[in-house]
Amino acid sequence: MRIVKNIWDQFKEYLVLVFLLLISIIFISHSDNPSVKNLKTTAFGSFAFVSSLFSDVLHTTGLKSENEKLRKQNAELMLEINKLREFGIENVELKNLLSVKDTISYQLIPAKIISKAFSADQTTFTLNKGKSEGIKAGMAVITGEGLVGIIERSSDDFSLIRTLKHINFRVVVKDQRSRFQGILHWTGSQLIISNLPKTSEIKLGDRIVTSELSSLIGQPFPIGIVKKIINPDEGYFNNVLIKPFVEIEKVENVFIVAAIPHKIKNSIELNFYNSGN
Amino acid sequence: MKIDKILPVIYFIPLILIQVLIVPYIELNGIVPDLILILLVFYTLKYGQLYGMILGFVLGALTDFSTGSILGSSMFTKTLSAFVAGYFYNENLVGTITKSPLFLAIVFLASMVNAIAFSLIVNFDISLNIFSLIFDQGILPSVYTTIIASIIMIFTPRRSYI
Repeated sequence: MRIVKNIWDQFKEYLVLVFLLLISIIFISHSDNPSVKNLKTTAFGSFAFVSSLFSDVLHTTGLKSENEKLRKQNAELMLEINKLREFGIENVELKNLLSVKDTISYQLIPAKIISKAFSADQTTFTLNKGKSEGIKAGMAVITGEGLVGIIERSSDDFSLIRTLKHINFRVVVKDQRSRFQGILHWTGSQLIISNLPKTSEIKLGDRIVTSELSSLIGQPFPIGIVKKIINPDEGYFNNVLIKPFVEIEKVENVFIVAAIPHKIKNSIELNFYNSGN
Repeated sequence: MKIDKILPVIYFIPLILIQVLIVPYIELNGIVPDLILILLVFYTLKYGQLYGMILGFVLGALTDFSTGSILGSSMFTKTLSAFVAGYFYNENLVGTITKSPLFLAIVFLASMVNAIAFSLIVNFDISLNIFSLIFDQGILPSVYTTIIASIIMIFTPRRSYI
């Protein structure tokens, strides 16, 4: 007994450290457990409610300058829409000729970011819309510039976005010019498409958009442009660095794409959208 | 005395609100100061290593729940940071160390441990660039946290310290 007491007196800091770190590791390894997820959703919903009360006060301060910016953007978009409308009519005519039908429809749900949690590896935002508005895990979150992230989980009134700058964010993307496809992910400091064959004809400045192959995001949302092509001497693959269109850190208002994928396609792919998360 | 020991858990609520609502306005290229860590180091130097580790574990758990990060990640890193900061605890210097520049050095060191451990836990990759890990994810956030800690030190009346 005395030996145990001696050991405790001498090494208690180390023993407590090891004990606490072990508990933390157990939590990390069980973070995907459904009961842990439920606990996190409940805790996150309660905290988001408190944050939302304060965020309303904070957001009103920047409204004037934001309004001015939006009016300018509105005018620019009006011009852009005119041009796209022409393309749209042409596109419908061509699709009719080829008998190709649209398989996906979607609606946009406006939402406001009420809090932001930054870290090098996992930047997450909280939105003021949740399950009661029809928000589900896996839905895409966008701004006028492009993709911001996807909904990770929702409580009744709030949702958590897994942004592009999150190491667990993965999405199939394509080069809009060359049509080469790859998987985009965040490394902790860079947004890259890794393991692209050296034969792929990707060039600096190419626009990268989400691919229709993605079972989560079936629409070509803009992601960014090719900033650098890392071409190692050895191996068969390149890594491509992407500069995102959206300044993730500055985003305040977003749209959630309530995608309604084609029923047959969705059932074949067992889409995340239907998992009820 | 006992009430004083649970005060940091109460202080956590306004601090985490500032962290997620106001701190994003002062982010620099995605790098933000960690206010919870400053609180943790302060109380670890006041009550010692053992207390600091338990406090780090509790504050880490609350941070994980409120920010939506991987449950256990902040618990791990905050416990480890408090363990490191706790080495500078000295019963005879309680009350003076948190007023001295040494406090900032301890905040910097604990913040480095916190940031690097966090990156290793949530993003362990064998091809991880050591320079990027230490500089981008370790030193830069730590410098920012230390700057904010020094501002808090400057603008906090001396008598309100321990």
